[in-house]
Amino acid sequence: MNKKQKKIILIGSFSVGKTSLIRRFVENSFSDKYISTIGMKISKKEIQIKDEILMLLIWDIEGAVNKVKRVNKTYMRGASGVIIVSDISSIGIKEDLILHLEDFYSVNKQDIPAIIAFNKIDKNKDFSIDISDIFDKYPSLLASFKTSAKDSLNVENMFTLLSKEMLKS
Amino acid sequence: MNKEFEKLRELIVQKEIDQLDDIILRVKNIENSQKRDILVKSLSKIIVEILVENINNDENKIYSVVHPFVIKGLKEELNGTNDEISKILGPLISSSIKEQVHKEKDSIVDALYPIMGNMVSKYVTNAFKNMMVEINYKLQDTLSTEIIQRKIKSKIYKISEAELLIKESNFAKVNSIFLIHKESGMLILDAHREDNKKIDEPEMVASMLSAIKSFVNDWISNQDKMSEVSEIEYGNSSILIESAGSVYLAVVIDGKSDFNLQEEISFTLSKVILNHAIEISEYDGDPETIKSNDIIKILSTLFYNKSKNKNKNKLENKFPIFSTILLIFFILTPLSWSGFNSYKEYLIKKAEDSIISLIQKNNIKIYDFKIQTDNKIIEIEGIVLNQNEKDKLNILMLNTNVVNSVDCVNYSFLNQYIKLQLNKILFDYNNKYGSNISYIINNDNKIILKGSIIDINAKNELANYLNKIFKDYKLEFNIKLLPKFKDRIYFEVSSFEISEKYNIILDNIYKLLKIHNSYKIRITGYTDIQGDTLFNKNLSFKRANSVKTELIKRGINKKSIIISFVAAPPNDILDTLTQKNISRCVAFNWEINSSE
Ligand SMILES: Nc1nc2c(ncn2[C@@H]2O[C@H](COP(=O)(O)OP(=O)(O)OP(=O)(O)O)[C@@H](O)[C@H]2O)c(=O)[nH]1
Ligand SMILES: [Mg+2]
Repeated sequence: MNKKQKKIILIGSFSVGKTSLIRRFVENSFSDKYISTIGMKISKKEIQIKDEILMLLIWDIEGAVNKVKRVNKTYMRGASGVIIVSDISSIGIKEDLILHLEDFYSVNKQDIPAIIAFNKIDKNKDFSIDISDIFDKYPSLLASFKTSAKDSLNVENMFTLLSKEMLKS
Repeated sequence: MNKEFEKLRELIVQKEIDQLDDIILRVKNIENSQKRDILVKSLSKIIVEILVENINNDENKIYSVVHPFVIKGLKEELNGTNDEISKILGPLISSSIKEQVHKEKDSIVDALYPIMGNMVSKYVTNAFKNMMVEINYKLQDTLSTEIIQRKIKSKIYKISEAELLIKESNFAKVNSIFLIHKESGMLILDAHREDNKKIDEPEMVASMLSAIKSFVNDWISNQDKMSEVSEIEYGNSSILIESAGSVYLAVVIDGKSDFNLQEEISFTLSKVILNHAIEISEYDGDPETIKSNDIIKILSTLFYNKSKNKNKNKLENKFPIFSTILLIFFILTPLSWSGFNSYKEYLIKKAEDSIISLIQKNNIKIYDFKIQTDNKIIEIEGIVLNQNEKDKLNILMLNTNVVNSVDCVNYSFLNQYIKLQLNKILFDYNNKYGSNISYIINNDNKIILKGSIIDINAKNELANYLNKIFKDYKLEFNIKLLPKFKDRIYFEVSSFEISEKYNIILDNIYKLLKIHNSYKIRITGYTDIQGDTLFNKNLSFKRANSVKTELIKRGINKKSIIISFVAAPPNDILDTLTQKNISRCVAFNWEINSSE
């Protein structure tokens, strides 16, 4: 064993496209069917950052159904990086993002890098949102990406940026 | 004046004024409603056109306007008692869950297959079949909004006891060990009994185990606060889980665990932690920060453990067997039955450690020191040699919840006490391993052990044990190791004639007996499972006897040979049905106990 490992988790409400983003990144495929994740699912992918090979263990965690019934936080613990996914065609995006950020940082160190994915951007290319206040509130929030698991937009970029940041720490 | 005028006006024309106001209001209302009517009338003619026009222009915009209402409506429906939606969505969702279970099945089996061995896939498939039946049943029976919200988190089902019985086996053999970082589930390192049994994706196994562990712990903790997953059984193997603060050990064994093995695992883990606490608690996925070789060396001692499973009726002690929908098709045993609880253990250990260091700091020498914890009370036992020390100890333990049962005795009593203990230990030990180890205590109070033993592991076990018990004394080991008889002599069906090809073996045995001439040899005859018992008994005797004759011919004193015979195959034949040819044999062992 001589590869570095890192745990990345994807969180976000149900059906926002967490599983789809991972599938796009790991297997480069996509399906229209919605098969809701139960519990969690773990995938592995090795990527090369400069001259180093990194083994990503990507935890896909079932989406919370509502504000009250949050998911089991123990899955989130010990992550080296997090992607918070939201669906641009849903309502209450900002509120939802904050809930997930709070969940994550309540069990992890404050300096763990995070990225926000505004997913399903293929549905509305003109989508825009101002989240500067969220960036102010969470200093470890690295960036936000408009992604599409369907059209393979920004998925690879997003994972790569997060991985680079994780290697720095 | 003005006031008077006002009053007058009120008296004369107030009624008219009110009426006037009323009239004005009515007129206004009429005007408004007319306008609205006209507006509605004219708009309704074109509203469809507007919509059509807009949809053509910007579908997304309309969609985003309408979407929130649809979602809101849906949510209200879902939360209400109205089950219209359930009826519509039901079939859809049940098929998606089914599909997921199907899909996950393969990837789960794939990921875990290597550690599961052959048997397991069968059990996994079975477990899944049962689960599917359960799910179908559940869905048909109680399709509710809860299920739509994917609340099916756990489910209880039972495997037949018969199936579990098949899996009973006698020896717990450690095959693989994973040291896993608790928080992140990342693999720190893995070790395997044999290199070719290495597991393909140990990192995935580690992550999945951690996920299962969290999943189940979360679930169990709702029922019982004190327990944690300690064992995951599958097929005829188990994964034992021993947790410490920042890491846990997952030990894959063949067969079932028993208390000894569990203790040994916990002991090994504490050894790892003692020496490597900092590097492992700060592990961030970088293998270079870990002294893997050192740790593997410590862990590898577990491969040589061969603890026998004495607890045949373990099934009865078993908790209900759970299965949960995702990857949890295993059978899980919470720990409480074994009286083991990692976190509690950890706290106890901490308390004990601090007492020990307190005693050491104060230079109190306690012989045969024991520390026992029962709930919140800690009791210390042992012997000190003067009253001064005992008083000192009493003062130290004042105001603590430590019960001080340390006795003060004189020197000759201590000596007597040691002898008593040694006698008992060695008696048990010699019985267990067929050895003849004895001791003397010389003038400088040194304990010298002598005698002989066959098994090097047994020798080490004794040394470790005595060093632990008598850590306050000087110990010297003068124990001779006898070589094992590895070879056997095999026979044809119903025959007790020794083939010529065994001459070399017999010659070697002769040489060994000459070298170690103060020891006796035991020759045991065996048969295969065929044939009449009485006949076989006779046959096995004759086999042993003909070997004895051969050895005497070569010049061994017949007093040094003991024979025994069994009308059955040796214990180590695994499959007595297909291995008949190696069942018909004679085996050799040292008979140390009865030697002079
Ligand atoms: N148009 C479009 N659809 C997407 C995209 N990503 C996901 N979807 C669809 O959204 C639905 C939900 O996707 P999943 O990836 O299963 O969602 P999830 O976040 O994993 O959901 P849970 O597991 O229930 O928490 C599926 O029908 C996907 O096909 C995207 O980028 N564009
Ligand atoms: Mg999913």
